[in-house]
Amino acid sequence: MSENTPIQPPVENNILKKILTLFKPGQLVALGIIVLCLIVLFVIVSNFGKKTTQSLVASYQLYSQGDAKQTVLLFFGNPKTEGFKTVPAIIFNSVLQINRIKQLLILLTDGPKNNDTVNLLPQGTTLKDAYLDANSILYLDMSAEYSANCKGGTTGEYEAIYTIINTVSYNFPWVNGVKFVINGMEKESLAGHISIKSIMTADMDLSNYK
Amino acid sequence: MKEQKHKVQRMNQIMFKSPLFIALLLVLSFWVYGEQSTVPPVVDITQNITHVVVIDPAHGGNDLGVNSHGLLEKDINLKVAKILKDKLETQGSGITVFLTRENDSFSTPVDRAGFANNKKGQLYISIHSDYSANPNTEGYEVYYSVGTDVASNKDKTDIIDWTKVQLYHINESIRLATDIGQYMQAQLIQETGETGNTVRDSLVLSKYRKEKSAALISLEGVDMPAVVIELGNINNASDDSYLKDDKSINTMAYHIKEAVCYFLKDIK
Repeated sequence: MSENTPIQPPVENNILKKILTLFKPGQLVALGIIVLCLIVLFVIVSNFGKKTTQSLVASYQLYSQGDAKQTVLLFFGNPKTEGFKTVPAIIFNSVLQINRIKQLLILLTDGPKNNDTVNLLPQGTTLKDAYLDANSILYLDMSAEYSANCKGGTTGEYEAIYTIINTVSYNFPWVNGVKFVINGMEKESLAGHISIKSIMTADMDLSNYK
Repeated sequence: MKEQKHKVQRMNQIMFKSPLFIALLLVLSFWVYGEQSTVPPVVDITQNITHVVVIDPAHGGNDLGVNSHGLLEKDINLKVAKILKDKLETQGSGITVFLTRENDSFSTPVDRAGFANNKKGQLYISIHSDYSANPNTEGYEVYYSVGTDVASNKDKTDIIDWTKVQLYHINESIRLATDIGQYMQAQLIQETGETGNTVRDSLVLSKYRKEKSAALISLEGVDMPAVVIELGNINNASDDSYLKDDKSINTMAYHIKEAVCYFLKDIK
């Protein structure tokens, strides 16, 4: 091959160029938008029906790797008797307090790692989002499963509610109260027994929580 | 003389060290304990006053309540409520009992509270069967509404918020819960005679948990002393079999009846 031989552009580029010359610039933009819409549609359809609630909060950047760590206590059920049993866990000391609370509740909703304690939350319960107002009232948006899978019973509902409130209040005593919403909506109760209409505070009265 | 002394010593040895004697002593003590009541028996509460009691068998219709191992909460609640009604009405002519539902039908807690208020009840008992995610939680429990009594600040011209009505009776509700708790833990004299269904008092007294307060939906708007009784954890094997046993729930109803009569004694 002589040195003067021009370098042939790749064949693919030629084809692409030919295709592009078939359209006017305006048509190209419209085509781009259509392709983009198709991609978005594909993503929505492929994720339809999948549980995404946990990943929503978990996907937020809740801490930086440089953050210090903090030991917290999670209030699970005591398998030997009525009441709570605490399990230590580690969260990052994020700059934003709400991100510490979110980390805490993700650990709680994930459930116990062994059989020493019982998960008191209805199956599939996850945290969708959390918000702190200026008066340190914590608003928790729980997934639909929190109510839909609650089997009822005054004690069952009591445990499902206070496993969360006690965990939050024990680790962050400056939280003045907790208000639950389910899947973005206010609800009267989880399954008809205990009212969750008002802002609630911790109940450490249940014995054997240590 | 020495031989006689030896004989007495030998007798003492046999009497007090023999396992048979100790067993006999134990049986005798249990029998004596079983025969005595640790709470006052309630015989006549009527004193020519008619008392109105409203019993609420919770859930019903499509609202099954807790559902475990083929045991439906709505059915147990109705069964116990009917037994309790019979027992109270045969106690004396002074008690009239209304049930918020007589069959497998559903009404909302608001309708039930309204029904009780219209009947001008003097006390309201909502019968439930419990569920806990913890299968080792066992026993019965009495709940009353959470809040501070506001009766002392009551002004007749005040418009009372429906959700706050129960707070006007909170102290009496606590007294009712305490009375029921006391009778659920007490060995009672056997039920006899009038009801025709003599039962041995087989309530497992140690199963009683405690009185507890909570923001109870079913007591909102109830304008009288009111409690929720949770009969047992359906998710616990022992409670589950207990709730399936007619004799056991009959005994449970008997204990509740005695507590209700004791509570009504002080209502003029």
